Formats: sequence, structure tokens, C-alpha cells
Amino acid sequence: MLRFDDMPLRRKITLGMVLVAGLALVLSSAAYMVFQARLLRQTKARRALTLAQVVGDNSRAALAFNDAAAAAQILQSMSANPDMERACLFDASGAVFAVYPAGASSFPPLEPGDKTEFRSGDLIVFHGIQQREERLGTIYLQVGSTDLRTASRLNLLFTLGLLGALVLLAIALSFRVQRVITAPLLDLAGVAKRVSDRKDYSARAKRRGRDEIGTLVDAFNGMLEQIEGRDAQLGEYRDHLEEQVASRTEELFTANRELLVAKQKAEEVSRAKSAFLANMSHELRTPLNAIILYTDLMKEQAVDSGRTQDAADLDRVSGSADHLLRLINDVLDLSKVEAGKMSAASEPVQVSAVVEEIVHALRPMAGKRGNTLEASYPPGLPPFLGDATKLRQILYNLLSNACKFTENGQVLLEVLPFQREAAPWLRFIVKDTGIGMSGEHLGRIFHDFTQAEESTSRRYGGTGLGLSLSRRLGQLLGGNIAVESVPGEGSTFTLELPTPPIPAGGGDA
Amino acid sequence: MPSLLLVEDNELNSDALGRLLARRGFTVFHAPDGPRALEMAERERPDLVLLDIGLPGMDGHEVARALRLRPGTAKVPIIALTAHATAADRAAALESGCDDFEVKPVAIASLVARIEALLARGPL
Repeated sequence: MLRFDDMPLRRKITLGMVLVAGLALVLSSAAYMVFQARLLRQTKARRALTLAQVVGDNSRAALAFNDAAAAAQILQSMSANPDMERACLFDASGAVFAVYPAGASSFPPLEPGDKTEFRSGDLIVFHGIQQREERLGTIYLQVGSTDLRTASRLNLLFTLGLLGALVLLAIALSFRVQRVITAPLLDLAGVAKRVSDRKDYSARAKRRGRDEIGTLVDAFNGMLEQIEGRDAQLGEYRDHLEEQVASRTEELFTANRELLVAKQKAEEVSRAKSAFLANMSHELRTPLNAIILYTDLMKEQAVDSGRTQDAADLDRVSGSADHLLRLINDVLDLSKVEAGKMSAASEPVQVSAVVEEIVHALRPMAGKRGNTLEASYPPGLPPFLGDATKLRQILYNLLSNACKFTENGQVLLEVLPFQREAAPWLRFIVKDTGIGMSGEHLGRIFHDFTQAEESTSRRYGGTGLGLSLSRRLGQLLGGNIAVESVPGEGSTFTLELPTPPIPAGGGDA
Repeated sequence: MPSLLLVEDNELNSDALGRLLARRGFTVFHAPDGPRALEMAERERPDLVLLDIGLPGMDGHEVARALRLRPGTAKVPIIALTAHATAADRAAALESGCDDFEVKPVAIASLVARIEALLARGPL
């Protein structure tokens, strides 16, 4: 059985209307039947009384003349009334004077006054017969109520029939009424279901009137319109976006492809360049070796034979050859670093030995320009695991640079230990009181073949590769080089290097 | 006077270095490649070998190992001559049997000092 709450609206309305109408009809029918029954009984009683009066009046003479036969005759006229069961005429003394039907007996005791009452289904009437203040007798009637029962039964049948007809009518009417109420709602529900099932926001519910349902339908349609509008807008955005994405993707794809090709080309060129430089450097060194050796030989011979001018000139050839050699070596090293072919050695490095060696080697060069060259480092620096050759190369570059760009000044190499992320590092500070550099130049000096000014190389010599190579070597060793400078006051180059300790038990020289 | 075998493929370098050494009183034999170096070492029994590592064909390391394997030259002092002086180069030279190491281009004073030190040490 369906719960009321779950019933379709249509059945709820029908059921409600039928219940209400049915209850009203049943109540009113019941009231009507009770009223009708009462009316029938009253009418019946009144007619019985009238009959009693008529019979009484007719019997007055018979009673007065004590004519029982006449009285019986009068009573016999009762037979016209089919309901009449018994009748009796009492004389003034209360004795039975005449009866109907003939032979009837056992009448109830005489009542003193007039009386009309229903006694166990029959109507009992007592009526006194008067003649000028004298009571002549009493008439008694006992009338059956078959007619009443028949009438009641008919009444009931009629009422039930009416009730049934009215309920049917109510059902029919409720169908009409519920259609008026539910049809727009069902319509609305159907549209809503269609919208939610098919995502079809173009659907619209039909409005039938200006009642609350009409308002609901309007609101619902308005909502759908908004959704449809937004959908359309979104669709437009999406289509546009897809178009845009597709075109961007295409552009990116093309750009990527071009980049890849460009990258491969660049890498090829870079490899070719590195290979070329390495080969060239090697090829250049062989004849240079010969030049250097023959120059040495000739210088010795010139000195031996006392040709001092030749010896001095050959010294200049020697110096130029050395310069050329350093340049070639720098180019070779740079190309190796760039090609990723250079690796850092891992050997025990004694910092004090490296520093002393370099300072010793560079002191003559410093002295040539009237500079003092000093080194300071804390005593007892422990050896570390690193690449002494590259450290020497970097320090040599930085110090020879400092000596080159300083005249009658000081060049100082200071070594300071420090900790970075709990690991031991060394800071090598190369400080000079030379010509210094402006900020603009500082940004460029680590680039290949760049000196602070174009005129620099002419005036001071140098390859223009030293700082670039030094920085790369520093990076190869896990460190870095920084520079600070004030034009006219001097420059400070700082090399920071990780200096891992030599593991206990390890470390062969 | 001590005799030296100079193994160097470049004719000019070999000539110049040989003459610089000869001026200092050394007898210098020249060999342009590995096989001839081995042959000459066997024949001349030099007091010391100057060995260019970057030889074409049989390289300096191979020559050094071959010299060490022959009874006549097993103990001759060898100084390697290389273009580069990285730790790896030095280790490779010492491993193949060289006793010392000089970077090219040769500084004659430094080379002579090394030669004299090895000769003074005498055969092992």
C-alpha cells in the first residue's frame, strides 16, 4: 500500500476531495434520515389520533345507546386501514365494549387519559370519548408500523444511492479540479526532468494562469533562460579557448621544433669549436716548442760569443713566445672546460706550499713594476683533498693580474678558513692597490677575451682569458670567484673553495 | 760523459733540445718513434732516456713499459716529456715506469737539474 506522502499529487488531491465530500454527504444523509423518520412517525401518530377521534365521534351514539353491534360495525370499518392491527372500544366503566378484528382479546389496561405512543414497534393510541363534559368511553387503537419500516428502507436506499452518485460525482469533479491544479505542476515536473536528464536547457514549461504555479513556471523558465544564456556564453568561450589553445600549441610545437634544431645546431657548433680549438692549440704548440728551444739555443750561443745585443733581442723573442704559449694553453684549457672534458683531481693539497711557490714565482714580475707581493695565511692549515694544479693556475692568474694592473703599490694574498654548511672552506683574497675598475667593467671581466678596456691589452698585455678561465676552474673545483673594485683605488678578487679534509688513513702524494 | 736517448717525433724539437743538451756535455742519441727508440736503447745502452709521451703509433707509455721489460734497459732512468702536467698525466707516466716528469716546452735548466739528480742517484 502506497503511503499518503508518496502518492502522486493527482491521487492525493482526488483522495482528499472524495474523503471530504464523502464525509459531508454521509453526515448530511444521516441527519436527513433521522429527521425524515421522525417526521413520518409524527405524521403517522397524528393520522392515528385523527382516526381515533373520528371513530370515537362515530361511536358516541353507539356508546350512549349501549349498542355493541353498531360499535362493532363502526370498528369493522378499520379494515380499510391495512396497518390496523387491533382496536377496542371501552365503555365508561372501562369494560371492553367492542373489538376489532372480531375476537381479539388481551388489550392493555385502560389508560386514564389520552395517549399516543409507540410501544414495541406498534403505535398505541388511547382517546377518550366525551359528550358534554361526560366521558362516554375510550377508544384504543394499535397500529402496526410496517409502512414506516418500508418508508425508512426506501429512504435508506435512496440516500445510499444518492450518496454513491454524489461520491462518483465528487470523484469525477476532483479529476477535473486536480487536473486544473496538477496539470501545470506535472508539466513543470516533466520539463524539469527533461532538463536534468538530457541537459536540454532550451525546454520551457507552459504557463496556464497567473496563480502561484504560473509564478513558479515563470521563475523556472527564467532560470532556464539564464542557464541557457550562460551555457551559450561558456560554449563560446570554450570554442574560442580551444581555438586559441590549438593555435598556441601549434605555435609552441613549431617553436619547440625550431628550438630543438637550433639547439642541436648550437651544440654541434660548440662541439666543433671545442674540437677545433683543442686541435689548433696542439698544432700551435709544436712549432712554438721549436721556436722556444731554438731561441734558447741561439741566446746561449750569443752569450758565449759576446753578442749581448743579440742575446737581449732573443730574450724578447723568448718572452713573446712564452706569452703566446700561455695564451694557447688558456685557450686549450677553456675549450676543455667548455667541452666538459676537464675534471678536477682529488689529491692532498698543502695550501702553504702552493701559496709560497706562486709568490716565489711571481715576485720578480711584481718587482718589475715596483710592487710588493706578500702572502699571509694562518699557521698550521691542514692539507685538504683538491686539485693543486688548478688552484695554482687560478691563484697564478689572479696574482699576475693584480701585479700587472698595479704600479708602485701592494699586492696581497690572504688565505682565511671559514665554514659553510658545516664544511670547511678556504677564502683566497687577492688585493691590489692598482687602477681598479668601474662597475660597468666589473660585469664583463669574467667574459672570454674581455679586459676592462680595449686599450688595456695593448698597455698591459695579457690574454683576456685568464679571469674567464679562472672563474670556470673555480666552478670546476666547486667554488666561485667574486670581485670588488674602486676605480683608482684597487681591486679585490675573492676565491672561495670547499676544502674537504683528507680521510684518515688515505692520501697518497 | 753521460749519454742520453732523446725520443721525440718532431725533428726540430728533437734537434734543438739535443743541441742544448750537447752544449752541456751530454752525448745525445735521437729516436723519432717507439720501435726505433727500443732498438737504439738496446744497442747504445744510454745512461738516461728522455721520452716524449705524445708519440705517434706506439706512445710513450708503451715505450716505457717495453723498456722496463727488457733486461738491458730495465733499470735505465726515464724522464717523461708531456705537454700537460696534470696529476693524472703525472700518475700515468710514473705508472708506466718513468722516474720523473718534465712539462713541454722544456725549460732547459729545470730539465738538466732533473737529469743530473737521476744520474746521481744511480741505477736502482
